[in-house]
Amino acid sequence: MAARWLKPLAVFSTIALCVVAPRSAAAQASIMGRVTAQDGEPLQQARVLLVGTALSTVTGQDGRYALRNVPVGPQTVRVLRVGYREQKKAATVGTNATVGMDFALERSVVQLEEIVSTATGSRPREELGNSVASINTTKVTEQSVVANLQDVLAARVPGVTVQTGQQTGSGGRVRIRGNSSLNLSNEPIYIIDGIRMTSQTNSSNLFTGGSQPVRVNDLNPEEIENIEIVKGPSAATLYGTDAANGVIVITTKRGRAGATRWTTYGEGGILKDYSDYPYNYTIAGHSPGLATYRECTNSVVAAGTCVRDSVRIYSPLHDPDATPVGTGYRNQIGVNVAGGNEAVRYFLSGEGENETNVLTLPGFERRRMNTQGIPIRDYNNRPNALEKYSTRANINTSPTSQLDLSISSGLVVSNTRFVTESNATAGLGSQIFGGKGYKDNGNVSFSDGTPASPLTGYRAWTPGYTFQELNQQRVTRVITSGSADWRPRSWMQNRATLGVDYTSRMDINLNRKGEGPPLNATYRLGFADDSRSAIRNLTFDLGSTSTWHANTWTALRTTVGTQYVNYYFEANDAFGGRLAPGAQTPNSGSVPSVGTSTTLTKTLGAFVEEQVGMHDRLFVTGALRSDQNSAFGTKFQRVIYPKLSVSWIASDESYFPSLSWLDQLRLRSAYGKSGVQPGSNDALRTFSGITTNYKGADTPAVGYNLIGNDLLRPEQTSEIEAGFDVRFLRRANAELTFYRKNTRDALIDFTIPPSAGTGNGNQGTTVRRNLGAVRNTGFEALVSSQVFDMPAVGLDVTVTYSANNNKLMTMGKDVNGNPLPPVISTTTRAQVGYPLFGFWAQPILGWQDKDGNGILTYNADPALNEVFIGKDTIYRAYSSPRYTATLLPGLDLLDKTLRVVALFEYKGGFKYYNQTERIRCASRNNCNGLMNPNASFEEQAMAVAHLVSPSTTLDGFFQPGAFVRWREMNVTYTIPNTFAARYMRANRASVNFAARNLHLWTKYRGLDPEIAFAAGESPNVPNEFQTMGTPTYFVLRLNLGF
Amino acid sequence: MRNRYSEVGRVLAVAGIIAAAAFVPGCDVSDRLLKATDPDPVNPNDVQSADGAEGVRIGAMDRWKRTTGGPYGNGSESTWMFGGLLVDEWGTGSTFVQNDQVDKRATPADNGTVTTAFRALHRVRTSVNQAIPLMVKWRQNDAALNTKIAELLLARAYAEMQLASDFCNGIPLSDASALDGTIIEGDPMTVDQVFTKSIATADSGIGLAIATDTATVNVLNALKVIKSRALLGLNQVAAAGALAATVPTTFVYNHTFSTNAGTNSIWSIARSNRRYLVGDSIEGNARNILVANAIPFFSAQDNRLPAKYTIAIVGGKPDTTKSQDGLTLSRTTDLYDETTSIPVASGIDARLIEAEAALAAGNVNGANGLMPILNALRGTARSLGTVTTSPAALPALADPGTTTLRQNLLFREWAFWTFSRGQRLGIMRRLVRYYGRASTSVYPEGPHYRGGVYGTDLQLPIPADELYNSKSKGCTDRNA
Repeated sequence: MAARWLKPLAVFSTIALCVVAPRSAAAQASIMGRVTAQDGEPLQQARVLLVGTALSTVTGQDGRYALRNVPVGPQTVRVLRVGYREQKKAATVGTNATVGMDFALERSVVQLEEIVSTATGSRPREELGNSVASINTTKVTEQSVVANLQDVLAARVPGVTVQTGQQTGSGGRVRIRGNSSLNLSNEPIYIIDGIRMTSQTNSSNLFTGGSQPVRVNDLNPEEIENIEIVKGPSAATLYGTDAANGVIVITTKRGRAGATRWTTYGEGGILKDYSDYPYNYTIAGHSPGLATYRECTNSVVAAGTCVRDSVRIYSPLHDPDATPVGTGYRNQIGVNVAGGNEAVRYFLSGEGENETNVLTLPGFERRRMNTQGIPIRDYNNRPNALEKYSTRANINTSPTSQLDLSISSGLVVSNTRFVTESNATAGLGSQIFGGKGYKDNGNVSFSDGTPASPLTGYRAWTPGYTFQELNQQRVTRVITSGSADWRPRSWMQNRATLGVDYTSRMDINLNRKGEGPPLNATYRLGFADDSRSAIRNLTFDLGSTSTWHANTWTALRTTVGTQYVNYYFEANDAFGGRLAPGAQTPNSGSVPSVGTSTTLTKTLGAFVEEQVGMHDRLFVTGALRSDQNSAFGTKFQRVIYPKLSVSWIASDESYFPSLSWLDQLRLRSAYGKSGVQPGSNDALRTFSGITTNYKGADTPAVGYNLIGNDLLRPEQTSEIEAGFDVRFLRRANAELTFYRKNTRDALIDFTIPPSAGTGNGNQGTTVRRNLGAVRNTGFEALVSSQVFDMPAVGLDVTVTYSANNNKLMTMGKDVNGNPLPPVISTTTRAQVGYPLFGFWAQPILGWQDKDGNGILTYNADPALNEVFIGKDTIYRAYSSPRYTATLLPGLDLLDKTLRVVALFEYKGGFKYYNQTERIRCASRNNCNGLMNPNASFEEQAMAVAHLVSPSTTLDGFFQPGAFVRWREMNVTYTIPNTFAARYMRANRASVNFAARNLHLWTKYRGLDPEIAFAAGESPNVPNEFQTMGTPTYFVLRLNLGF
Repeated sequence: MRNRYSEVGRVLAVAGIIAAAAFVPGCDVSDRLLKATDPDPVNPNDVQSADGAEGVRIGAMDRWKRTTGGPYGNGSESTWMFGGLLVDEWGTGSTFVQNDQVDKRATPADNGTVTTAFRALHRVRTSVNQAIPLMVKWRQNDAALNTKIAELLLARAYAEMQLASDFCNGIPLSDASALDGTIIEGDPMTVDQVFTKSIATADSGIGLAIATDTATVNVLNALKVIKSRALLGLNQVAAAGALAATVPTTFVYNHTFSTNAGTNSIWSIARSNRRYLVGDSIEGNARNILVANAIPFFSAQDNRLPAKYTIAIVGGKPDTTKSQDGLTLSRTTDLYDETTSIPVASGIDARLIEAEAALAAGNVNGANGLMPILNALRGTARSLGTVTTSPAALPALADPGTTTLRQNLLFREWAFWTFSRGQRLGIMRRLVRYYGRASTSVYPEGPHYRGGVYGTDLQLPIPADELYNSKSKGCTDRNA
């Protein structure tokens, strides 16, 4: 198998290495020195650059650095360090000379990463014409509760919205600058240590009713040094096809030259669910003139055909004996060691983590199962839990002053189990939100002789049965890459990176014979599904950068590169239905079936970039990238992506007015284009093999499947952004960025008219065509300020805001040149002139309790009708947040040994689909508006409009989604070194108390406008549907350094 | 400086040449690096053989089965189920709003399950149209070639007939059978035109089914029944009766099932998953909501349709199994088990068609008249799914005496003999269209147990997705 890709790769590598083979070497000079703070404290990890060349290095623990092979002549050295002001020094370097150059940096209240990763290597931020957001992951993990990588990303960068999953181990969706694609993924791509990382959403073969893992959350945030977010094509051009939705660039931690530093940490905490769950309502009554008990609705009572006796109110979620919501637990312990010398540096780490969600077997179920002698296994008792172990070894070596080699290798082993919960009849949500307004609502019904058991307010069966079904995923994942950075000349830097991200995934769905819910006639006969997948992402990246000082004020930087990404997914699935007693594997199933699936996509790209730097304050960059991709149609060969950006530090110009309050003003603008590739088989015309029973015999057959499109090309998005960065009052920083992103050739799943009779199952009903156009415009703002900074106390505040405007510009035309009709679904439409995935409905215009009985009813006679509904289906709202804002105040106390940080997040400009309440009204007959005479008119109207009026409008269930969430609260106390040394034998120590998801302010009527039953599937229209709430975390953490 | 610049230039030039070489179309390196062969799909070239043609033919048969009682997945019910939901055969016990819409006779054009059912019938046409030329090209040595092609035509005739029976006017018959991906959009056709098309297709099949072996005769009889039903759709009752009269009562053309290759969906969706309720004239659990015009399929406890509540007695308290929605009392039928074969066309169908023709001709009690035919069916044990009818439980019927009552009797008998086999909706439409009945006296009417009242749908709509056919206008006429 491996040989299939190794051979061409070897050829590719050989050719590529020839390109960068050395011509000659010449003796050159060195610059060495030390970087300290103004108080003399050595500063490690300061970046030292030789301006106008490819040379750069990083200071060690003692603050020392050495730049070797420095060209002779006048040179300028620049030093950058987070939290300090940049400093430059010039010197003339003689042949074979060693020049000493020390720097004492002035502390800056502005905490910006000054060096950022780009597709062509690390670059000073000020040279880039686009905005790049950075997240200091080390800081985040030490001070916050982050269960996974998406927790790190959430609410930290304007323009990036993250909607995390609710179940432990489940993933969420990430959007950067809105949705661009109607039918392709709107998720960004991920690069880790220079290679493409598998970032599949919906990554399992488990049917959980929604909760799904995403592969980015396999990563251990503790191993990550830094995350940079490249927001759109204006910056992502050189990342090539697939980067149109943004790129998240992850850099893992590295060793630094100096003494060995051990760091260990441990945290423990609890999870609680404070969600305000709805009650179930039932109107108990009788028909006029009859004594027989019956259940009615408000409308029936108002019509006089039922007499209300009482309103019964109950929910298992509010009954301590019946609720499955308990206390969850989280523990984490890890250790890492970093150190080395100039020749070899290392970072080694290991961590174990486990988390048990709040869901637990209710008390009444525990008693039942004990009484009936039913075993309570761990997964029956705590059905949602995660156990994860990760290790990492990163080695950097510099065998010569011209060559750096590095190897990054991480291993993750995890075991997660999920509850069948939301969009599943078998699931917990379907039962717990669907019961009656009373506890004594009958028994779980069986037709197989199983003793009946009380429903206890649940709908059709109780959690003990649901929790008997195991949904488990085991993952072993290795991400490893090696890179070489070779600088044969001071003006030339060559880099090569080869890496693979390999995931072995095993999904197990087990329901033993005689167990599980009585969903249908065969469910409790048992089944076992064993699905094993291998996911491989291979990256080979090669680049060469040359710099040239054309004159004293002009520096040219030329980069050429090529990149090859090879993605492979294969899965085997074995299913066995109707298991033998006690059996847990498919082997014993009397109804076996097997399946396999394969996905391959390969991208080969090459690029050239030219940057012109003038006076070290004006930088103009232009680039072109060309990609070929295996998913393109046979009649489409390659795509070209251009890029142009300008960055100008205007305040450095001599003619710029000297303003006492202004420290720096940088203007920037960037234009670029990128794409999203089609699905791997979208271009192909295919049949598929099937088995059918024909005249009594199982027979192989062939069915027409996809009609394909040999003209298929990538969806292409061009973006222009402009903005400025300003630093002022020596304590504040502000950034403002406007963007306009146009997607053309948008891949639309063109509906094949059903009368054509194409496809097989759900496949082949559409064909991907490059038809549409989508526009996103918006802006992002960030203000960060050290409000005051005194020796004992300090206060800093960061505020971000973003706004997005999304519009479908065209849907394309049919064969006759007529505009295609809108794509209409039950809740949304893709209609030109409106946002993608917007909600549409016949609007509820108002209501009037004409008869004054407190109950709203619908009547076809306008004179009697009390709920007024618009005739036409119209656009109602965005289905995802348009506006986001965060407030991040940090307070330092007690000589700055105690730091208190809070994070508040606002999302608004959208409505959220309360589908839980919809199904409670439409099918469960237990919702407030339908069954509670004291319900507000608004709630009554939405039930009546949907259930009784001919419109069946869902308008009332599209509810205002704006909210403010107290996302995080962290208190960190830095233990005095003397205390740490004396009592802990540590040279640094801190203790941190952190909480996550503390409070929610919203007018949304459902549980939470941020819970999405299928967040891990990265839905374009997320909604709450029989979904359990978001847990609140309380965690105590101890960090020790040795 | 000049030397350095030259060296940069050299390096860039070499890199450029290599990169260009890698990207030249047809370059071996580029092609090999980008080659991606997915083993999952079957290449269209792979069906260009005798085995391939046979595979496509069996595939077409599979497509056909999925439009009757074939394998079911969520939202992929055939019109046998959804048509039955629209009329009085089935009620919904599921939580799916699509099922509610159809059951309430208020189906919007974007109902996804209707779209799937509509597409499934067209898939039969497309796969048949692909299979026939392949069979002709590659299986000339197949002794059963004509019979196999006749059977393919049977499938297509059935699909066309069922489309016309269940959907409104405006049905396009597009053509996507070309293996180059070309789609020829079809013009909207009236149901009469589609019935006519079905008759022509059936005639083509009949012309080929000339051998006398059992398999060919079986196909021939099925073609006759399907053609007769299409003739009824055109109100050519006499012709239909005459053709049906040549089909023996014992004839049956089955679709078959197995646990490994697809189960009987009437069992899986209605009985196993409890998403459908056997229809009744009283609904709403204990609320006793009257469904006007509905045949009480459940309450009748007819020998041809064994139906029951599942009731467990726990502590002396009866507890009825609920449907999938957890609320509605489940009413299931044991008519079909998991792998019970299901007749697509049968001699019983032929007799009923013959009976209608007799009634239309005024032959009520004479030889081969309405009542003798109906009573002959009842008077002999007949196999219906898992059931063998009992003549004792189906005593002879008395002539009700008037034309209207005779019609009622005929179609009630028809309903029980063909329960959930895709015939009831067509009959209701014909009652309105040709028998002069008001739809309000034929279709379910009144309050619906899910809230609101029954709507006015008389058939299933052309799906909104069909508007992607530039010639489609959706339903051109919603009359019966």
